[in-house]
Amino acid sequence: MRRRLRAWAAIVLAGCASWFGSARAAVDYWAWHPNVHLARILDDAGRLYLFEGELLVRGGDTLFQRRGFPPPTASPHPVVLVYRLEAMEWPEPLQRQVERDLAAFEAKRNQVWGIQIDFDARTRNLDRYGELLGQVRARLPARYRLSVTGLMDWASQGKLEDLNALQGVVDEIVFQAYQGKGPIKDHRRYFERLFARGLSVPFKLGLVEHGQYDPDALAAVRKHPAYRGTVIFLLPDAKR
Amino acid sequence: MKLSAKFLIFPLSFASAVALASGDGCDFWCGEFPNAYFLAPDNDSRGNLGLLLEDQGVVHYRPKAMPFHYGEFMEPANPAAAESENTVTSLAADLGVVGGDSVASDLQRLAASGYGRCLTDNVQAVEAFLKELKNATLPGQDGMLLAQERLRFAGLCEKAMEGHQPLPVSEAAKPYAHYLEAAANFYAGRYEPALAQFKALATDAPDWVREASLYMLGRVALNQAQIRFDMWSEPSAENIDKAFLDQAASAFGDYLKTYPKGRYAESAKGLFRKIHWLAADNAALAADYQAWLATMGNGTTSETVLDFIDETERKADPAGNIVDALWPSPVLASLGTLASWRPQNEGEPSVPPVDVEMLAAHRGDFANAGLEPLWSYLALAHAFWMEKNYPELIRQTASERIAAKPSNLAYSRWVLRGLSLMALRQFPEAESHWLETLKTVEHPGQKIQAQWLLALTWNETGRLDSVYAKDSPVALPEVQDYFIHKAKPPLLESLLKRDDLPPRTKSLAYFRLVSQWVRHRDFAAAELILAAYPPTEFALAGDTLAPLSSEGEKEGYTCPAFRELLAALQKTPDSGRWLNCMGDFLRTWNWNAPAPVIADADPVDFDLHRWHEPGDYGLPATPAEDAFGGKTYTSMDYYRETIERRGLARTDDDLAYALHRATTCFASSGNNHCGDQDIPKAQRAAWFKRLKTQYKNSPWATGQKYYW
Repeated sequence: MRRRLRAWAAIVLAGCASWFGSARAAVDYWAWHPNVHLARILDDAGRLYLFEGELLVRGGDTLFQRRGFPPPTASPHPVVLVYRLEAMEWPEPLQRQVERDLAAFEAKRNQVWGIQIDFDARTRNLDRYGELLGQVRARLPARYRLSVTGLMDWASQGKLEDLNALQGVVDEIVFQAYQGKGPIKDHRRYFERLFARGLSVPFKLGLVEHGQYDPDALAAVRKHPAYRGTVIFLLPDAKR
Repeated sequence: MKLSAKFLIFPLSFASAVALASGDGCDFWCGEFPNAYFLAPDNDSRGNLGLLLEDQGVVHYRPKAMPFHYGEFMEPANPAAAESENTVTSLAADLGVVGGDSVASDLQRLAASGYGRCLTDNVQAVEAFLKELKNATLPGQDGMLLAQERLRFAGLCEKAMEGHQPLPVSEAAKPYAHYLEAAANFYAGRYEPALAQFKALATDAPDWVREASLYMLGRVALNQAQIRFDMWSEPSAENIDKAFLDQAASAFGDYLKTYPKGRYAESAKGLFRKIHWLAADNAALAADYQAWLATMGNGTTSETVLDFIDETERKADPAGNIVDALWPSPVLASLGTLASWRPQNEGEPSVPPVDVEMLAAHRGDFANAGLEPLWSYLALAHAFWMEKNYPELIRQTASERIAAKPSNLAYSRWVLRGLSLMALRQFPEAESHWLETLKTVEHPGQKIQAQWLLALTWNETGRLDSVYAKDSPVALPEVQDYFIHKAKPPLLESLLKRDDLPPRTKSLAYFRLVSQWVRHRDFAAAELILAAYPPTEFALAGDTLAPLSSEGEKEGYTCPAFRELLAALQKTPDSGRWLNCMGDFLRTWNWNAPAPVIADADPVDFDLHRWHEPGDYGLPATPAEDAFGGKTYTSMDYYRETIERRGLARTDDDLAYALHRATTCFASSGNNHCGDQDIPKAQRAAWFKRLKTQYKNSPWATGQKYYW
């Protein structure tokens, strides 16, 4: 990335997560790109969020495109299966797909925490997205949990009641504080706004691996009562 | 929702433990490069591939803005999977399977795709087997029993053998029953019994069973080769069993020799890609891709194209690998060649740039593949990007003209010619070049690219007003919005008077004027704009315009509303309070950071909207010029002025507050959050000490426990 770094120096998030030692939860990881090396994450890592596929909208039709990771055998880390949606829809075949994927992961003796939905719902559509998530939750067997990714915009501009209405529907929101291979622009401001808001739904902070984040702003977010930890987005191995 | 058409094109080729076809699916999160509409090193390699595929007639792009995305070509999915479901239902009924509900629920499991080897346990596979049963005209209930059994384990994968019972069928039907048992064993991961059963059936069974079993011998061996391989690793000698891999290659070879046009011939050929990848035979893999590419054309399904793009990106990685292994595929080698010419970022590992000798050595590979024009483009591009020999480039392209519908390759040559004129600072000629392009080309992508290059040419010569002229050939609002941040104040003011411009363009110009005059400490100029045009006439996304209506601070250290503060600073520029208040305003609204290129751009779309600058085209970057002239001020400047400037009208409270703020700007890491000034720690300590001694009774001192 050729983006200019901010003048204020910042900490570097490496795969090594000891920096988060005092946080309330173990560090989790997103494995999204197939060329990430999961071998480099720590043994004491928490969950693995594994990208499994996406619902694409092409020519007015939706179709499921398989992506990402086949089930490992008896992973030592609980896994979360991640699905990206291009449309605010949960069609029947996608429900079947998720059920078949969950069964496939369990058949290989993995501990499956649940699923995560990744949809870039714009702030103004949060209430409708909440309704859709309610339907997804209702069809998900009770033993699985539901996570959603959230845009940093939600944290600063979304209506608080829409966000808090997700409590009970989703088990967590993971706010994505990155873009490209770096921290999201103005992340410090986003973090400050996030910290200042009365969010009651449990949330995590999604940070990009090797991202240079402002330590003061991170520290502020970690003091939020609804903060539940960090998910690090693993970058593909830089062969280039 | 429809199932992916790849099941139809290569029904069995993505069968092994890692689905070869997977892409990264995170185009933007994983740092995709933005694509210009001509072949260029700074494009994402998949964007360059898309342009070449368009020349081959495989895809069609209709971009509305730049950068364009390589996946934007998609058309509706192929509905064939739904058709197969209906066929299976009626075949099952024909064979005497009763209970449509149970068939439907078995088929439901196949509505979702499995992983690895189970990907081929799909509705097409069931359809093929049931068709064969119908053709075989087996005695009694054999057909029904066999169909039922196939439906039973459909989609069960690892659990395929749970509930398996030997079928009470006649001798004639036994080979089919054994075949099903072998298939269920295979899906369940029980490779040894599966292998033994397929082996027996491959020599002695009805034709259909014999052919399928011979093919399955390769599938079993290919899966055995990968037993120790999973998502955690790259293929290597430790996790791939070479003996089984060789066995798989020889089994598929046998199959293709016996059945060159067999039911599974395409699949067997496709699986050689997998074998070559697992064996790390990169040259063979590249040749496989070139052969696959050669089969594509008008009518290739969008999903196959997407699979091709994603798979080559993952497995051949043309932008990340050295080009050597890619030459057997001239197209992939071209992508790698262009990527090797990218400007290298310091400290990042890089691939050595492809030079003229290497290109010359492989000219024959291109000619053999019928890709001589692509080779010529690379040679020309080398002169442009690497040698920077612009006169030579102009000489070589002297006789070329632009057509209404040029190929992307011809268009790319034409763009290099125009860029060379720009590099030689022959701007009148460059302007004519782009104007001619705009009059001639019809493709929307080529048109937008030419608009952008024309705008860059005008920007270089201080003629941005032409971008906004009423009949400007640069009519795309996205381009006009981009150049707001480069425009000088008189041009921006003239835009405010225009009724023909989109509201967003005018709002961006308005915000730019007010915010930059404030950052440049010209409060009178800011006030003039605000007086002539109230903020309520404009709208930008989010809270971009909110600072212009800010109410000030009513508690603690009080400050007036924004407009009042501007007036106060003009009336009493020497007031410590007003200086502190301006420091607070800039800090609160984050105006200390560099202004974004487009003020209200959604940060989520940031990379997608990053237009190419001259530097991205290999041109010398124009020195960044401040269109408003002079210094920009940050909060730290104002707080320090209150602390340090002599003759200022300030109270003890003002001074204590400025000390408190200036000190706190470094909380708690020691980094400056109020500007980019480097303030020595000793100075921060001195501020703290002064606050805690001279003003120890001030509330700003009692709350200040530390400095950083």
